[in-house]
Amino acid sequence: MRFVVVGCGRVGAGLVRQMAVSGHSVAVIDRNASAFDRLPAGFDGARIEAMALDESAWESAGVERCDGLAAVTGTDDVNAVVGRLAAKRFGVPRVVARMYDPVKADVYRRFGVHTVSPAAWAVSRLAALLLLVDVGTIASLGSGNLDLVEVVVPRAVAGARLGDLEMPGEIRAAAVTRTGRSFIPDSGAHVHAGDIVTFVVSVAGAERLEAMMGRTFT
Amino acid sequence: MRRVLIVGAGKAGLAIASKAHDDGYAVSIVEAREEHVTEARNRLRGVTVVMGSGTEADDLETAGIRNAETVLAVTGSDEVNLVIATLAKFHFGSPHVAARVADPRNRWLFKPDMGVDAAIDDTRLMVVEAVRLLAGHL
Repeated sequence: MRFVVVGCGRVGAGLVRQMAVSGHSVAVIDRNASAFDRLPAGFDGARIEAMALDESAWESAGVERCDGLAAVTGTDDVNAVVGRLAAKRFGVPRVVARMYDPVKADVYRRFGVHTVSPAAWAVSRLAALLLLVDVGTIASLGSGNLDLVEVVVPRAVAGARLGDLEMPGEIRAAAVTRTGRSFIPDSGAHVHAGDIVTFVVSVAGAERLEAMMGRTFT
Repeated sequence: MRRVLIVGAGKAGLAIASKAHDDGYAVSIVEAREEHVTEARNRLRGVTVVMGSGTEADDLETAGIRNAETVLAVTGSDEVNLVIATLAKFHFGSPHVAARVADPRNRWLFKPDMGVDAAIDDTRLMVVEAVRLLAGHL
């Protein structure tokens, strides 16, 4: 497939690397030629030195024919405009944008741009680490309002019933991995320390789950 | 009274606000830079000046965007003006939205799909005026 990445900072270059490794064709736009130094050796896609919103750069990057576009410059407003433009005017089927401001991220989600807010993500991840809970987000579903997360069950929570961790509409256990084997659990199942439980969570559910994992179940 | 919301209190925003106020419009302004907020408050009596960001929905709401018939995004930054226009048109449903084109190379972006009903292109206006002057002297 063909992708366009606008912004070649750490995130943009990392994204290019990942897409290129998976065998996709990627064009990358950045206003500073030196930003392309971050690209992996042997990257053979188009490097376009131009402002993010430059019309001819969008033409040479082939935005009109691409399967997906990522807006990952360092500025929320630029990413917002790039994302909206790609989704609405160019009809790009998949458009993702980084947005530091979680409120703006919500607004633009409704404008057809899948937004990722690293601040909100980092807050929940750091809180989880502080609480000594091993929590990792595996995937975002839909426009990012549901996440698939993995939790390594801490000693304090061992023995709890999965049903006690679930919350209608917010938290649902999808899988348990125990000593290398995975199964689909029922709500009555009890978790063991070291189990990896995969949950589907809403944003509110993710916070609730972390709070629960930091607390002792009796 | 017809209400107009102006985002950006630089030279252009201030001059537009002053004229609109004199013409009998109810004018409010959103401006992010403190010294420009102070200047606007000192120079424009009877105009509401809100310190805040035009790209924040909350600040636009505080400045009364829901009651404004016309929204003018006239900051010096094209991406900011475009985000304001998109919010005004598609989030708040503002009836009339105009946005300033600061860099003429960005003219292609200022279309209805970005929430812009009318583009105010500084450079183009200047060119038109200059050509008119030139023609008058020939």
